[in-house]
Amino acid sequence: MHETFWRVAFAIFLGGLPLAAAHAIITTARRRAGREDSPRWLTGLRWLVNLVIVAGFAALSAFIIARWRESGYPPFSNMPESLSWMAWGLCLVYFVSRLFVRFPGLEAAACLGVVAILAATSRFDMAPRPLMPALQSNWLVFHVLTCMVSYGAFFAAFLLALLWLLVWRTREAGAVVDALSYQTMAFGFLLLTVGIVSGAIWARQAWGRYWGWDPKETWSLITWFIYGIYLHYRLIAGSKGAGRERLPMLNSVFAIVGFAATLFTYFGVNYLLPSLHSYAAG
Amino acid sequence: MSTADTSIGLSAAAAQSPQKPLLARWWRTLRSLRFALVLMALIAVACIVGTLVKQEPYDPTKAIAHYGRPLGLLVGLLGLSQLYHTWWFLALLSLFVASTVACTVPRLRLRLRSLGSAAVHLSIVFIVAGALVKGIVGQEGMVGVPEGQTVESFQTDGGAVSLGFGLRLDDFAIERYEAPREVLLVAPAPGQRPREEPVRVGHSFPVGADGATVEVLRYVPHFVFSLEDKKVISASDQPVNPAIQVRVKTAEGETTRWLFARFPDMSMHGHGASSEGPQLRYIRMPGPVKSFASHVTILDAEGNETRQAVIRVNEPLEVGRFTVYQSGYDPETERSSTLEVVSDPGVPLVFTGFVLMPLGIAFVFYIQPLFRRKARKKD
Ligand code: HEM
Repeated sequence: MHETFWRVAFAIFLGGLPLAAAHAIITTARRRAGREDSPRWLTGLRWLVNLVIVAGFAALSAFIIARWRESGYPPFSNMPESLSWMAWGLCLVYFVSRLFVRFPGLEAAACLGVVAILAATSRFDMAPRPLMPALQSNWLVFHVLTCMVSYGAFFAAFLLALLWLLVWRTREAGAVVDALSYQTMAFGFLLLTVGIVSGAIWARQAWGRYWGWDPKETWSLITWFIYGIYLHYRLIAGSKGAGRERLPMLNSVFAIVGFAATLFTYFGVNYLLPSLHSYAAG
Repeated sequence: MSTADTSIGLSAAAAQSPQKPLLARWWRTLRSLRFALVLMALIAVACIVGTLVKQEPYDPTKAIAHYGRPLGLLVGLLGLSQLYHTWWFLALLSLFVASTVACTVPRLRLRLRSLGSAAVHLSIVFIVAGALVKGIVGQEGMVGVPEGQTVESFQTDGGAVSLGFGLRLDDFAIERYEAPREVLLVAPAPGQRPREEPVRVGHSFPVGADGATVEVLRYVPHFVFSLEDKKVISASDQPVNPAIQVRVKTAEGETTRWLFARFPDMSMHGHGASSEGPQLRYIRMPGPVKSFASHVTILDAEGNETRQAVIRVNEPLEVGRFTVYQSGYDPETERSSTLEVVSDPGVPLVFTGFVLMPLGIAFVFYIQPLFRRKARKKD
């Protein structure tokens, strides 16, 4: 059953992508032409796209719940499972952002992001695999949930950075994009902090040490430092008048570098470096 | 977001006015946020290097063979293969903590605005202090204990350390998700693709096209060749050395042989060996491990039993100042447990930091703005 939900979710987001892209392109073109109004059909299209995203999110959630029930263990232990949570987190960040800002391209970025994650998911063996002893802990749920939702947030910030660099680089957009990008990365930073801390507490419970400098741990720390540097550098860079205009560029640079480190922490360490954590691969 | 006053914007260079005494200049550098950012970046870069160079005791020949001569020597010179314990990395971390304190303490006001970040910065001090306590007085090591035996000490890098109590392993229990999978891999001749046949006494099947057949005659879980009786017996009913006896009939005649799951490439032939003809391998794959646990009894110094407990993965046992973890077991016998023993009085400090840090960050991001908005409305 869970495979069906997965396919449905993937199909919905894939179908939503061209609709969302069409909406973004039309709205942007109209704004460039100086037309700020939104005719009813365009508003309707936006509603439709958002409905599609909500439906896709529901299917994704159904996939997670069905897999949980069918496999008999919490779906947090291998790549397809954790990636689903990353997609879930990305949707969450999208919905909250959407409550505060309305910007052409936001919908398209969300669809593109989820499609990319689900496409990556399908490259791994989807068969449920029973949990090895070290993973049988309530910390598994909390740790993976917080880490993966933080990755979803960092992915969202990355997509925002691309949107800003490629499409939105206008002065009016600056303040809104800046606030959104900053809030997204701040949210991700909080969740990554909780994720690392919960991982450390769990490591103490399972292996007797809260920190062992294994490559996964170390790379999560590197990622955390990058976003930490960003938050502090912002305090300096944004404190003067002229600095404010540079903030969107600063956000974009850190969102891209930070997400590269996030990806390396998640994939690179498992496949390119030897690690204690690598049993979670596959 | 922009509430920071301009003093944090001072760069290290700007702080070096020549009239100031050296100590004051250092202090101003330490207080500058730019300096802290440089430190963070350096630590991050060092960490990256640490994940690229394999962390192990330095061996010049190995390092030079692996990285080439100049790089291999550099690894040794800078201690890159044990990077996280080098003096310079620890110095960087110390400077970082000093910088955090220097940034926090002088700016400390009893205002909501500085409460959150002060909590976060303070949490770092807690964590590092806890790690320091661990480094100075912490002990950790391993001990292996076979079923029925008692241990009173464990091995650390610095030698054996007494537990101060006795720990007896009453039973080691291992549970698997599935029964072991046993198959007979059969190929008609050397070098040909094998296929799988079930391992069942009495099972007989043809091999290849030339009429050869194989029959499973006997199964023993614990193969022993008894010299007194001059025959094969099973020493127990545990799968210690599982073996099967098969009869192979070919055009040339009939042979029987023993196949061993633990030594799949060896076979003991009766009645003449044959390296030609059907190739047989007995494969026994144990199911994935579901759980393993040590049922132990704790004994006091006089040898009296004080309590019984079960140590599982993720469920360590606290005894006195030690925490005992289920670490591993002897895969051959599955009757001997490996336990990790840790004494770390720094943990309460570290965990205080672990709680304080996310709370402080959440406070900065989600509570402080509420008050800021209120204050703005009042203006
Ligand atoms: C990894 C270590 C650190 C973490 C996780 C951390 C975390 C934070 C957080 C979450 C904030 C609030 C940011 C905001 O308002 O947007 C903050 C503010 C600040 N941090 Fe750090 N920090 C760290 C190290 C440092 C260091 C080493 C320094 C100084 C050298 C420093 C100086 C400051 C200053 C001056 C502020 C502004 C305080 C305020 O305006 O309330 N931080 N820090």
